[in-house]
Amino acid sequence: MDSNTTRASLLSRVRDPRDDAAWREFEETYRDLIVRYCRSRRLQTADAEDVRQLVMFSLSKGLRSFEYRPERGKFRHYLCRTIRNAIIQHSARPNSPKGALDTQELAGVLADDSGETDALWEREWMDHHYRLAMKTIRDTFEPRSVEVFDRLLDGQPVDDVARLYETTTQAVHKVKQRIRNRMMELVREQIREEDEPI
Amino acid sequence: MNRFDDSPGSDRPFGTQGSSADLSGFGFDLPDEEWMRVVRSAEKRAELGSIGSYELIEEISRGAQGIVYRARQPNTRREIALKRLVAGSFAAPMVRARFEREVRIASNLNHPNIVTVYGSEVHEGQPNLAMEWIDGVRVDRWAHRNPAGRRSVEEVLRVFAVICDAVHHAHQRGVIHRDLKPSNILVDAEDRPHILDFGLAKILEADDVEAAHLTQTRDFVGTPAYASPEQVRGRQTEVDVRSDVYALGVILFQMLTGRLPYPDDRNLAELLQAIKDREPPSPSSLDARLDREIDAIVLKALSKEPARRYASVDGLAADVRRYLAGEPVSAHPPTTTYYLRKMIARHRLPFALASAAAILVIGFSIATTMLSYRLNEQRNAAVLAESDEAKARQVAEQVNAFLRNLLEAAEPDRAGGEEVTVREVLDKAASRVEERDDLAPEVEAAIRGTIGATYNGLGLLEPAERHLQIALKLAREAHGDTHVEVARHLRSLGNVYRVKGQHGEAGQVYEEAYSIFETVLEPGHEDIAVALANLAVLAMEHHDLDTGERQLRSAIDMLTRRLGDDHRQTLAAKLDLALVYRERGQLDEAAARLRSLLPAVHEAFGPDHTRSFQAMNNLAVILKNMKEYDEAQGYYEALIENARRIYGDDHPHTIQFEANLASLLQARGDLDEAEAALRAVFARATEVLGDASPTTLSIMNNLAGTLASSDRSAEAIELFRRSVEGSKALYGDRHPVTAIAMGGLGHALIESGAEASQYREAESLLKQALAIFETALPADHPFRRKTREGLRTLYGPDHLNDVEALTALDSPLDDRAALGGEQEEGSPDR
Repeated sequence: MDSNTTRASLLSRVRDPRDDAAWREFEETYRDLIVRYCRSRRLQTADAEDVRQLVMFSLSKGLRSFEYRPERGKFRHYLCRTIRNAIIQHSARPNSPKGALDTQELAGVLADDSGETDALWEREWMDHHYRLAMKTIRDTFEPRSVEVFDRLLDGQPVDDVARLYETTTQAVHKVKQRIRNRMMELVREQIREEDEPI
Repeated sequence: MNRFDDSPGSDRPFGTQGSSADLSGFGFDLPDEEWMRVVRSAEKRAELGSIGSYELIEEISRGAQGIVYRARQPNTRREIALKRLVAGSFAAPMVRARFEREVRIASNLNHPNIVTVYGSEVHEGQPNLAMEWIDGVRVDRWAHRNPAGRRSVEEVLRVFAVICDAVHHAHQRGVIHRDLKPSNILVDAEDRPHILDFGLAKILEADDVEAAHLTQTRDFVGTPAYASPEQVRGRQTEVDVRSDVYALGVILFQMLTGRLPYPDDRNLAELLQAIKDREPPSPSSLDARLDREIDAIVLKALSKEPARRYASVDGLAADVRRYLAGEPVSAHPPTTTYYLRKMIARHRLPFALASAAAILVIGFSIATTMLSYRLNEQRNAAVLAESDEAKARQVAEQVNAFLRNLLEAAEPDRAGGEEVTVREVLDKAASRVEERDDLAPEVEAAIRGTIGATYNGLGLLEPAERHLQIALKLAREAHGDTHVEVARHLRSLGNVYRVKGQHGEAGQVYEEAYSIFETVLEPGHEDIAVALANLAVLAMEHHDLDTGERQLRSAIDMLTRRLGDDHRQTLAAKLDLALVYRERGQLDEAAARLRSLLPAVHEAFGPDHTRSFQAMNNLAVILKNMKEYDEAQGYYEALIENARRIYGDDHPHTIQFEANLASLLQARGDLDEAEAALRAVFARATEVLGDASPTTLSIMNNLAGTLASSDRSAEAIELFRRSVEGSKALYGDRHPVTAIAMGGLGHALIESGAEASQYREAESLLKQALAIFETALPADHPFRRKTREGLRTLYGPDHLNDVEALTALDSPLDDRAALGGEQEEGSPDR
């Protein structure tokens, strides 16, 4: 099955409050992004997890209805705002451990909260799409192709890899190019899906 | 050929894919080397940092309670599993309290298959739990991981039994897991299972105020797919060890079949509904490697009602191990057939085809209870449940041992591959049990009960009665008068009495059985319903149709609710209800009901089962009375063939079917054929069943009627006299069957055209018969008409008012079959 077409429906499927499978898939897809962004905002792992919980909670309220609200803009901006709100909310909680978020960082979060996304977010968001695309590739490409690509990612020279797999450097290059092309296609699909009105 | 060419994707050149999505910043425009660095960095494992003094290595899992990390202990550098409670808006103080109790409880459990808890610490207000690190895979994945395909059923069961042992260990210490699921059970490289997370455990102690407080909330804790119906219903106070039994049932189901009983990709509400209401598919329907015993074990663990599950995890483990050892499992309906079949398979006795057929017979007998010491359904306390089941199991094992020794002893005698018949095995068992004086009364009672019911199934009524009497006496001594075991022996005994035609005795023991079941079991229990149905059939035999109908309807109602529409017991009672219509003379209605029940009956019981026989036989009888002779004859011939094959020639069923076919021939007017057939079957019935059985009496009546029609009055009159006497003794003076015999005798006396005294006797007989028919039968019933005709012949037309026009005079006995003579001797499955 082409994962493009199934992915394309996740954000719309997740609107159905009865579709628990879609919600689980949604959580699976985005939780890493949320935690990583929090960590890049210098939250401790434990606090990042707390924030993730808060984010999922408000998303479950916000998304899981059939109401479309175009004023939210793109999902990526909506998600970023939700996370930043959660960070602020978490740090403001009376029983929040001291030092969960240092003041300077909090100020940064607050300052960035102008409807625009920040650079940290943009980086995490792009990494997120790379990871999704890589996962699809790992699931759908011939395992030997994936192994070749992984060796290249590890920094092994093309010649070595070709020798190891008893093939030509040309073939190895072709694998890399194929995966690169496919990743671009996938990322483009993923973003197009994400940019559907929410 | 390029071996990488089969990868998906396309050869479309870079950058030409049509799209408006903005990919700037992603780095697709970078040179390969730099682009690969971007990919590498995106895929890099997120740095987790540390929690408290623990250095986090990776995230392992996350659940409702928290996240589990692989972590390193600061001083020892030992790898541990660190569980962190997720705070935030979901983390109510209640959750926290639960977590703290988990530490206390878990660190008290010390078992090689339960993950060791090292301790806990509170870091910045958040509690963390440090546990033994297990390098293993989830048990469901273990079961389906393929180094060489799937794990074998035996491998799966062996590991599962070890899991049960560990859970049982916790139960014995008052700890219930309440959240057993594959992600909480890891299997290591040596195939040893380890149970994690006794985190939702609830202490069974009644005075545990904290526990009571925690469980007052109705909020749902646990993973729905493995949650028991009582957990799903939010009845936390009903959660006990049997909830863990249920979860283990789900896990076993999944390990064996690779799927859940109720697939959990549906939405939550549907899943919860299914857990509450839907019957799971049988594992064997999903995987051909599995058999009915596995089904029985898994489905027993998955019963909706806790009381129907194993009362303890130990019981579940014991059954799994019995299965592995090739011994009978307690979950399987404890029919003697099943038991003996198991024994024979295990000991490879040279049972040949004839005896294999005879073995089937045993299944028709009432399953006594040697393995089915069902638990007192009221009980909740797990500890009590355990000790009762342990005792029951002890008895079952002794019974097992007895019969096993017996079969082993039988073996050398039969070294030449000669057949061992069930009869021989039974006789041997009977004499062996006589010799033993070391058996505990409850053990001997169970063995005798089995032997007695089996004899009854073989149609050997005398030994059946003797053993059941002793079983009853011993059970009374061992358990007291008001006990399920006593009631079961009473019921078996009632079945014997009914076949013998001793209705008074049958009524007494059925009554007592019913009142015991009603006292001991919860209202609506199927044993109560079946006892009621037994009484109903008896009432019908006494021609109290209204009582019979009322009792049957109420039994059907209970059974439908308890067991479902198409359950054997429900169907059996529905078949009996159809007979009520037959008895009332509403033949169309009765035939319609039987026809519509027939497919379900075949499906539920199997075509060779006595119940299928009965349904077909009863339908044939009705068809005969509706003068659908050809169709009826087809049924009879099939029945006789099957009965000879399965029961042998001398079984009451075989005799009954032959008698019925003979009476069909008679009704159709093939008198010579009918007479020959009736004589043959009469001789055998007299020999096997005796003079006084309903079957013998009905054959006697029919033979007499045929003889009367063939102008052999003297012999006919003699037989009718015997029949009248027998019917009076069996049914009483005012029973329709007695009236039929009297009517027949009356007609025969008139036709013999002899002396005046015989006319006077005929008049008296016909008058009595008519009086009985007028109260018992509807106005247009042929018996009433024909009896009037007899009187009219006697008196001349003027003496009777309101006589209908004479119709062709059949022997009234042609139709006697509609009145109970063909009533089968009961409900052998009960």
